[in-house]
Amino acid sequence: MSLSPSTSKMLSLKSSDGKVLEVEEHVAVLCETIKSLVEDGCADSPIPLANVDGATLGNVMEWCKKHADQKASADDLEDWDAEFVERDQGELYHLIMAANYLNIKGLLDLICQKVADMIKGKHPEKIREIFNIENDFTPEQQEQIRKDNSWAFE
Amino acid sequence: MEMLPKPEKAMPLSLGAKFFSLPLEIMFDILFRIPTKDLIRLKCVCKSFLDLVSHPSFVDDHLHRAKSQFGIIGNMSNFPPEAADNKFHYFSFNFDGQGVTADYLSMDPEPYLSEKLGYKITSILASCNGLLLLNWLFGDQPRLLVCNPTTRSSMVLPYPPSKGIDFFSWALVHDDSIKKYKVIGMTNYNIDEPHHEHARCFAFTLGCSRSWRAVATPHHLDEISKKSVAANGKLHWIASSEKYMEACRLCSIDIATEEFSEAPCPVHVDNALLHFLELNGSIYCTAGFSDKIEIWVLKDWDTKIWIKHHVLYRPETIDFCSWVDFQPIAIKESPHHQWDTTTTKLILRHHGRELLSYDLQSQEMSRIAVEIQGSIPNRFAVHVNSLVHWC
Repeated sequence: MSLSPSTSKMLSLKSSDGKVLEVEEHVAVLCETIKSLVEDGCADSPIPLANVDGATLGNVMEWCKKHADQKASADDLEDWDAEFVERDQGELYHLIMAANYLNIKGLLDLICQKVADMIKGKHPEKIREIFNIENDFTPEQQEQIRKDNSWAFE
Repeated sequence: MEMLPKPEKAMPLSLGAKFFSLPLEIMFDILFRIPTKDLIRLKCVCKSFLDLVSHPSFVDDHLHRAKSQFGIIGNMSNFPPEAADNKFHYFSFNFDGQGVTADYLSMDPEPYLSEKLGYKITSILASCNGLLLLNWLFGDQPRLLVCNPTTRSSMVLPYPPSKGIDFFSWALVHDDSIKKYKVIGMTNYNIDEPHHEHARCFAFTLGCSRSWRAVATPHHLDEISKKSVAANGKLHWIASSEKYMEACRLCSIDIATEEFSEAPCPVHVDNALLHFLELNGSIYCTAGFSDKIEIWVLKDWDTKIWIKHHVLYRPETIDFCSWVDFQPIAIKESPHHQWDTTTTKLILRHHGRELLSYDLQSQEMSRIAVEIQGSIPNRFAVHVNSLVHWC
């Protein structure tokens, strides 16, 4: 089956909250999950995506559209991606879950790297603050674990 | 003061609580992108991160990933006066993509041990999966330490029964069959010892053994190389025999069964010019001649047939006297900077002054530009930054 832009038709994607999104096939097939449905000839009716809400689906398809654009250069994509991941943590979470469910390796890599960059080079106090994590160690446990790993704070 | 009831945990809007509801493989994927030092700090954030970073399958997967990031470690051969302390001083060379970085590091294992070390750690004896076997002198008594310099875990090992025996070769290996690390010590034939007519072997399983056990060695085995290499579930040395005037052989011990076996070497040269290296589970042998280095690979373990893999001729870009000045340290694969392929590189130590990298595909020899104090370390081991513990 040819998936080139010239022969691309439109696909209907239905989100978990019932929103229907019309997307060009050559864009939507960046999602491996959708690609296998298309290849198996199961993509005629609106494709139900039970694990992705409408807002997240819109964001995912925006990313796919940019990355399906063959005119975009590597530098261009890199800059665009850097701006794309500037979102609040709630949105990043939903994007990770959607990229995993729809099996889009490029998008999953991008968001995982973003979260990793938010953790890198930071002290535990700062990480708790950024991610709103509760310190659930007792003072004794806290002291012991800081002592055991003291060199990492040198 | 009366204790206040603990407030109900508020549902945060940020990633914090949700992070731990991500599928395990995605949490791992995120954490693999974080340097090991940051992972250690992450353990201090909360119990969930502590459990995640200490999780055995995370440690295993992390090691597997770390192995693709090639590094070598070498102890300082001459200490600067200010470093005359009880710390272990070493260089870590990390190869990533194009470049290499050299870090001068030191670690003090003493705060993490229950006993005093007493004296300076003298050298790296062996390395495996990010763990190091170190040697230090307590007065004039040699002692052994196993440590992971990334996590700073350290453990003192008893010394094998060594009356009148000089241990010559040491190895640290992973026994996949029991998922344990083993230390293997070998001694050479000693002409002055009547009961010590052939090489002897002692083994110690970390997290199991209380004492060393003697492993039966072949009677004609009397001299083995200092350096050993693990591949295909076996540990290999170059064996030679002055007494029997035999040619060099590949001497191997099965890491699981602790049985010895032998195979011929690919070429007959002096054992000082032979080196064994490991890449992707295969064993490579480099043999130095007056005008070239031959690189052989043992393709088939059953038939023990060596295949000539590559020949390295006299490099034009490097001062060349003899191949004796070149000591192969490691063979590694790295992604090609332009194409979606890998290139194989041989890392060599030249004259004790510089590190060289030879590309087997382009046949180019280049200097590895690293800034280090003093001379290049004399003992190297392939090393990864892992979170591995020995039990």
